[in-house]
Amino acid sequence: MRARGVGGRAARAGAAWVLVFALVRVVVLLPEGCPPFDVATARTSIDEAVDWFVRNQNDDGTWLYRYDRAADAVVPGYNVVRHAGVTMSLYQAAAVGADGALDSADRGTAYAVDHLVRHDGWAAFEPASDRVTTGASALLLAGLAERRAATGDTGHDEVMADLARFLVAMTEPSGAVVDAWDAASGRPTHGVYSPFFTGEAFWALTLMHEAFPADGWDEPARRIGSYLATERDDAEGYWPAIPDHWAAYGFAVVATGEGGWDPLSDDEVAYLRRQAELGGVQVRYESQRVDSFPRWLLRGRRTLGAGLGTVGEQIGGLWEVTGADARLVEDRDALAERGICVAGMLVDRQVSADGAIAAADPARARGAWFQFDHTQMDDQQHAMSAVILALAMLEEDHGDAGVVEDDVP
Amino acid sequence: MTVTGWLVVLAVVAGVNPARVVRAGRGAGTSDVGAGTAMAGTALGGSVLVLLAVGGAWIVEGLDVSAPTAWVGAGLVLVLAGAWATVGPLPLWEPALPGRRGALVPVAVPLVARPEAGLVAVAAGADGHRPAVLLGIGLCVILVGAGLGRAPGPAGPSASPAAVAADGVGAAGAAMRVAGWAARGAGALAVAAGIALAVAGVYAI
Repeated sequence: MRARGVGGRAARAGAAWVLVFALVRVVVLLPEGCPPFDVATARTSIDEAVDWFVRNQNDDGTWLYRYDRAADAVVPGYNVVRHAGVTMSLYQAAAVGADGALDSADRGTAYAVDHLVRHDGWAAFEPASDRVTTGASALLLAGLAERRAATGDTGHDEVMADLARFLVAMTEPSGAVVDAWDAASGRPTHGVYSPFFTGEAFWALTLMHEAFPADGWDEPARRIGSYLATERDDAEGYWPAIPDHWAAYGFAVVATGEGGWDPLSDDEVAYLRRQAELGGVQVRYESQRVDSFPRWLLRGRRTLGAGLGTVGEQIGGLWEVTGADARLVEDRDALAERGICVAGMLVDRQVSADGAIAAADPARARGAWFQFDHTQMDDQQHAMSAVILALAMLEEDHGDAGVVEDDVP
Repeated sequence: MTVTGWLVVLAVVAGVNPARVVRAGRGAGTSDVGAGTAMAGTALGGSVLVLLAVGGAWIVEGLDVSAPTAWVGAGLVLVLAGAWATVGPLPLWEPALPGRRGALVPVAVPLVARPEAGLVAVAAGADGHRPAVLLGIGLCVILVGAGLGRAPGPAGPSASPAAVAADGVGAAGAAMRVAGWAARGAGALAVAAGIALAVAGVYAI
């Protein structure tokens, strides 16, 4: 009798182990899928994305904005901030030697330069609306700075300074960056802020200081950076904190640049560590996502190419900081692991040449990232930038030194 | 490392919950539940957890998950188990193997080698905290020995756990009540440790 009771107790204990481990495995410890990623696949992915932009660029320099693969239809609409973002991303691709990227980006720049709003000594990119956004000019400026650094061409220096003056005019004493300039009233829209434009302006001005170190762009840049690190989320009411890939780009310039930057403050380092934490959990969560049942029920559908790409960009920027600041160096390997995981997922999810054959319009499908049969040009932009940033991580991890640098034009 | 070693030690001790072993031993109703038997059982069950910690990195890698995610899983299970230990019925000694074999059942299994502690051990091993698991198990052995070795002896053959607890008369009843409170306190600690582990896992890179 006692033996049976003891045996039953032991059996129940064993069953509890099996049940708990099985439940945890099914609900929490889902496999994290990080597809293989190497220099060759990265190069192919970048080339395919660049080719998508080249094939889908209009005569005026704009690109196909949104495409519905299921209906084989172009979805109307355009976004100038994303136009500037694509231009910038293509300059990044040109800097790592992607064929066709520079020409396509230059055509995008030509469109932007043809649609500048000028006022009070500054210039801003806006082709049609009274809402002259800070973001479009910031990303255009960042792209031009990337172009200048990669090619040495100083042909856009004047317009760069005009754009930078606009960004400074839109920056408040606190470091907050106003969302837009209202052309109708001739004033900035004080009190209205974008979750992204502040970081974009920060990054663009850091690059301006790198290009023109004697012109004083570092002061407004650091003011914005400090605001991002210490005030923005509270002042603008963001909880949880915004994972800001643009801020990561900017702080990477501050940490690694040659502009004689003051060291990052402790507050900024703490902010960057929090940002890394936000990026890390996003990567792990996304890597558990599979679009088939029952996994999507537990984790949701896979995110947009743009969504995953921005996570990769954020991690890429933070990873660069860890190579220059001893206070963050302990996070370097983990960030590289996550950044390479993001890039692997992106490459795995990109429509390949074979995958595009069955599409109604292979030219619009190949090289793109789709969600629910829709792709938008910023899907390609952010995904491509994330893959480009991950190249440097591969170089360090696998000793492929020179693969990237040798191809810089 | 995702979490500190001290948090791992706390999580192991709270997950194993030596006060629960002491309380069960106090209410065993026989005189042969000595401190030695309970300590041996705790060491035996604890060795299972140490083995899981040693193999933690391989287990986690085999499951294709990262150490931070393992902490999230371990933390959540520890929260639930801790909550149950805080408010649910506390385990009794019986049914148990007779004599010193009681070290195996019920001490090692199911009182010490519990799934929530096992998950903590796996995550800790994957995160480079094997020494902390070993230290936590060592503390549990000492605490079980202290709990059963110094206070008044077993309540006696005629006293069932319920009777001792309900009667509340005498040193044995008082010691058992104290052990019960400690066990529930350890449950609350497990909840806190589990939350800390899960949050650390979520916010790890």
